[in-house]
Amino acid sequence: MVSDRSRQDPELDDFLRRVEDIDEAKRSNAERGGNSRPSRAGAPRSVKMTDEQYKERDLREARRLLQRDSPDDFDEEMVVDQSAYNDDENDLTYKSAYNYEKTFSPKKPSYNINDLDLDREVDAKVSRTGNNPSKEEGGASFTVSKDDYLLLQRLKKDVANLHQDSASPDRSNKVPERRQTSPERPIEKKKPTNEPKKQTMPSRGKPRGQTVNVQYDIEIDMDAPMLPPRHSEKKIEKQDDPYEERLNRMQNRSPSPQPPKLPTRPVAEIKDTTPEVIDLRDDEDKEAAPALPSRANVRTEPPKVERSKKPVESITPKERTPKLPPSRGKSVTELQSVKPEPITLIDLEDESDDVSSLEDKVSRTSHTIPSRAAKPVMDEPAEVLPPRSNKAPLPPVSRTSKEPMSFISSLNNNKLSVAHSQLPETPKKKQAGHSLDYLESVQLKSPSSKLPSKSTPTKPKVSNMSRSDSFINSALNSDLKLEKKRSPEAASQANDNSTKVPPPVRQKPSNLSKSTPPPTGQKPLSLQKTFSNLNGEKEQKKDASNTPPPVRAKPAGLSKKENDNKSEAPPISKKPEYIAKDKKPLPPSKPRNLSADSNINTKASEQVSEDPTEGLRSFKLRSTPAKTTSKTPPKVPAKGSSLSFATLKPVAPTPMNSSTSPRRGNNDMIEMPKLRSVNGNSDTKEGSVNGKHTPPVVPKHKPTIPEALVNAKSLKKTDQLSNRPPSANDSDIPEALAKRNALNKSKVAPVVPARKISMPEALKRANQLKSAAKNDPEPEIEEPASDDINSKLEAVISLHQRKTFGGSASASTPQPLRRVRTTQPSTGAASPQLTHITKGRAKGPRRKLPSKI
Amino acid sequence: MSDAKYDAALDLLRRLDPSKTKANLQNVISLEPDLAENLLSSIDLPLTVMADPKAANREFLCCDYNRDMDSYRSPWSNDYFPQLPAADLEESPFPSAPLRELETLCNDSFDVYRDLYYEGGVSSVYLWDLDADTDFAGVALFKKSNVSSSSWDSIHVVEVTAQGNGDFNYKVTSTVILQLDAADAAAAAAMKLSGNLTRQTERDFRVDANSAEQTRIAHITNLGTLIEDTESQMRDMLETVYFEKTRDIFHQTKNSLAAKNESNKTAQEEVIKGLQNL
Repeated sequence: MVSDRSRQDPELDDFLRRVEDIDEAKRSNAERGGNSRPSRAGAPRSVKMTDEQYKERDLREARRLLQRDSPDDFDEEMVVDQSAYNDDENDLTYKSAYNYEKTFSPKKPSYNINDLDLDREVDAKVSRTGNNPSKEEGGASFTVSKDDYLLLQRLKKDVANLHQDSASPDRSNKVPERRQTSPERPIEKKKPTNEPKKQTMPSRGKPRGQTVNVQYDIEIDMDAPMLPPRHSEKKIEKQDDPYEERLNRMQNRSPSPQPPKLPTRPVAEIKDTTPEVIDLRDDEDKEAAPALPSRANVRTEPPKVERSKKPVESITPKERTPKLPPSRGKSVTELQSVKPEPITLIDLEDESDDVSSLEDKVSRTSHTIPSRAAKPVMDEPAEVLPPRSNKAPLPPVSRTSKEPMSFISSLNNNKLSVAHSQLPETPKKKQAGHSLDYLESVQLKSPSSKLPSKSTPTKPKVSNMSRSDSFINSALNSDLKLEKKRSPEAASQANDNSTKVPPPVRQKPSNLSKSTPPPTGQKPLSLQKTFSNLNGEKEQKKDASNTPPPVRAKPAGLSKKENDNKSEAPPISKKPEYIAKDKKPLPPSKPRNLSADSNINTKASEQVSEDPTEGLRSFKLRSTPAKTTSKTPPKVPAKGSSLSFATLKPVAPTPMNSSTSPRRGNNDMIEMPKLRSVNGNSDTKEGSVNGKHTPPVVPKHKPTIPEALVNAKSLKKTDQLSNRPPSANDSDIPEALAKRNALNKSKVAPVVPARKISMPEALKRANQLKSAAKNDPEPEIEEPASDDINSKLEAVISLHQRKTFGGSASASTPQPLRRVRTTQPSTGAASPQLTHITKGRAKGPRRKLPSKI
Repeated sequence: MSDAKYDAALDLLRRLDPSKTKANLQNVISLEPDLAENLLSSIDLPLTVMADPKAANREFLCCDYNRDMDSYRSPWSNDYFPQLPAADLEESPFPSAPLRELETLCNDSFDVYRDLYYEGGVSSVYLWDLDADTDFAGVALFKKSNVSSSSWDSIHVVEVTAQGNGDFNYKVTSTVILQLDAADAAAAAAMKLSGNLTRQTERDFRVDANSAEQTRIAHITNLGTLIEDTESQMRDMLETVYFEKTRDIFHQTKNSLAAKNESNKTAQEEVIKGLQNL
C-alpha cells in the first residue's frame, strides 16, 4: 500500500479520473439497476458532482441548443462540455487542493492514518466489491482503485444510510446535484489530498472553507463560471436553504459532516448561477478556462473533454436532461440571491481577460456570445445593454461595475467582432452620434447665449456641426496656408468629406497630423455629452479647444492672399461668412479672425461649388466650436482682429512692407532721429537735413544727446581698447605683432561697426575724431598695453597649445608657483625656531631648587 | 649660550614623549644644571596632588610655582608640606598679605569653577608678587584624574600688570596636559595617548581701584572669565581638531579601503580636470 500511495501522489490526475469514471459507472449502474447504495456510496462525491454538473451544463447546453434549434447536437455538446468542464475543473481543483494539502503538512499524518484505515477496510471491501475498478481499468489502476474503493466504500456506507432515509428519486436527483456541487469541491480538492480522507476531509474542508473563501472569491472572479469558489462562499453563507437539509443528510451519510456542507452550498450557488448565465457560463467557462489555465490548464481542456466525453456519454444525457429542469427551477429562485456573486465574478473575469489574452476564447465565444449575452443581460438588471450584444455577455456576469462592461465590450468588439476593421468604425459611429448629441445640446444651449447677438438661428446648427469640422478645417486651412500651394478646392474637398462623414473626414485630413486631433475631439465630445447639461463646463472646454485653432488661425491670417481670393467669395456668401465668423472667430478667438476668413473662403468656395445646404451643414459642424469659443472671441477679436490684420498682413507679403514696415520703420526712425539729432547737435547740417522731424526731436535731442554721448563714451572706451593695439603696433612694429594686432583690430572692429550701424555718420566721425585724439596720448599708454596684450596673446596661445596636450599643463603653471610659495615659507620660518610660549611667562617667585635634581 | 641651550632644551623636551616629560626634564637638568630653574618654571609637568594636614587633609595641587625645595605650599593653610625647616621657611616665598587674601578668594572662586566644569578634581591657585606693588602673577591649577593615570591637567599662568588709570593687562598662558591611559595594564600597553597644548591670551580690563576688595573681585572676575574662555577654547580644540585628526588617522590606518577610494577619487578628479581642460 505504501508503494501504492507513493504511486498515487504523482499519478493523482489519472487516479482521480479513474476514480471519477469508476464512480460514475457505479452510480450509473446504481441508478439503472436500482443499486443506489453502491453508486451513491462509491461515487457520491465525484460521480454525483459530475452528474449534477452535467445536468446543469446540460441545461446550459440545452438552452444553447434550443437557441440554435439544433436538438441533435444537444446531447453531444452536453456530454462534451460536461466532461471537459468537469475534468478540467476537477483536475485543477485536485491539483490546487493537493498542493494546498502539501503546503499544509499537519494534515498528512492524518492522511496516513486514514490510509491505514482505508487499507484495512479496503482489504475487506476489495474482496467484496473490487470488481468495478478491476473491470474498468487495469492492474495499475487497481492500486488506485483500492483507495478509491476505500473512499467509495465509506461513502457508500454513509450514503447507504442516507439512501435508506432518502427514498424519493427526486430527492436523489436533487441530492446528487447538491452532491455534485459539493463533490466537485471536496473531490477536486480533497481527493488528491483526500485519498488520505476522512480525517483530512473535515480538517481540509474547514480550513478551505475559511481560508478558501477569500481565495475563492478571487478565483471565482477569475473564472466567472468557476463553481468551486462560489460553492465555498455560499456554503458558509447559505445554510438555511433546503439544500442545507440535503447537505445535512449528506453529512449524516458521510463520516465527515463538513465536506458535504461545503458541496451543498456550492451546489446551491451553482444552480443559481447556472440558470442565469448558463450560456454565459459556457462562454465564461471557455473564458474562465483561459483564466484558470493561467493557473493550471487552459489549453488542455479540449483533450480532456475528449477523454471525459466517453464516460459522460456512457452516462446517458437523457437522465441529465430531466435533471435540468429542477436545477432551472432552483436556479430561478436562487438567482436573485446569487446575483451579488456575479459582480465579483465580473471583476475577476475582467482581470482574467486582462491577464490572459482571450482572443482564442473570444473567437470561440464571439459568435455565440451576442445571443448568449443578450439573455444574461435580460436576466440581469441592465436590459438596455442588449443591443450591445458583445458587451452585454460580459457585463451580465458582472452586475456591479459598468466599467468592466465597457472594457470587456471593447475587448469583445475588438476580438469578437472579428472584423478588426470594424473597431475604428464603431467608435467613429458612436462618436458621430455623440458629437451630434453634443452638438444638439450645444446648439440648444449656445444659441441662447451667443446666437441672438450675431448669428441667425441656422448658425447654431452650423456651429454645432462645425466643431469637429471647424477644427479639422482650421487644421486643414493651417496646413493649406502653410503649404499655400494647395488650392482651396482641396480644402473644400476635405471640408466636404468632413461634413459628410465627420469621422472619416477626420481620418482623411488627419493623414498629415490631423489623425490625433479628431480622437481628442471625439473623446471630449463623449465626455461633453455627459456634461452636456452643464453649459459652463462646455464653454470652458470649448475655450480650451479654441486655443489650438487660434494658433492655426494666425498662419491663416498671415496668408491674406488667399483671403483676397476669399474676399471675392465673402460678398457672395456674406451670411455664412458672418455666421462662420461669428462662430469660427470664437474658436480661433482673436487670432482666429484671420482663420475665420480663411475658413470663410473655404466655405465660400464650397458653397459656390456645392449646395448651400452642405455648406450650412459644414458651417454647423464648424460653428459648434465657434459657438463654444465664440463667447470670448467675438468680443475682443473683432476689435483686435483688425489690428492684427494690419500688422500681420504687411509682414508676410513683401509689397506691404510700406504698411508693415511703418511700425518697425517707426521704431527705427525713432531711433534714427535720436541718432540724427545727436548728429544734428554735432553736425547742424544733418539735423537740418532731417528737417521737419527734427524740430520736435530737437528738444528731445538735448536730453538724448547725453545718452548718445554716453554711448559714444562707452564706445570710445571699447574703442580705446581696440585702438590701443594698433597704436602700439605702430610704435612697436614687429610684423608678427602687427599682424596679431591687426587680427585684434579686426576682432574689435566688428563691435564698432555694429555701433556704427546704429550710429549715424556724425557719430562715426565723432568717434573717429575722438579715436584720433586719443591716438596721440595713447601711444605712451598703449605701448605697455600692447606689451601686455602681446604677452596675453602669447599666454593664451600657449594655454591653447597646452590645453591641446592636456589640462595638466595648464594646471602645472600655477602649481610651480604654489610649490615655490610653500617651500619658501617652510624653509624661511618654520625650520629655524620653535616658539615656546611658556618661555616668556611668569617665572614664579624665587625659590630654591629641589634637592632631587 | 644659555639661551641657545635653553631653547634647545625646550625644543628637545617639546619633541620628546609627553608622558615622560618629567624624566626627560630631570635628565636635561642633570646635563645642564644651569638651566634647571628656567626649565622647571617653563616646562609644565603633570600636576601632583597633596593633602594639607592643616586643612583637614584637603587636597591641593603641586607645581613648580608653589614649590620650595622639596616642599609645596598649600593654598588652604599657606604652609609648605612637607614642612620646611624654620631656616629655609624664612626664605621660602609667601604671598603678601593683600595678595594672600586675593589668593584665598581665588581658590574659593576657582574651586566653584572646578566644581561646575569638572564635577570633581582638584583646583589650586597660587599667587606671587611681582616687582610692582599692583602687579602680581599667579597660577591656577586644575586636575582631574578619575581613572588610574588618565588625567586632565590644566595650568593657567596668569600675569597681571597695571597699565595705569585702573587698566590692567591680563596675560594668561594656559597649558593643558592630557594623558589617556587605559585602566588595565594590558590595555595600557595597547594604547596610550598623552600630549600638551599651550595657548597664550592677553587682554586688558579696567579695574575700579576704589577699594581693595573691589579690585580683588574685579581681578577674580577678570581672571575667571579669561581662564574660562581659554580653557573652553582649548577643550574645543582638543575635541574638534586633535581628536578628530587622530580619529581620521585612526580610520585611515584601519580602513585601507577609504584610502584607496580617496586615491581613486583624486585620480579621477585629475583625469576629469584633464578632460575638462581639453
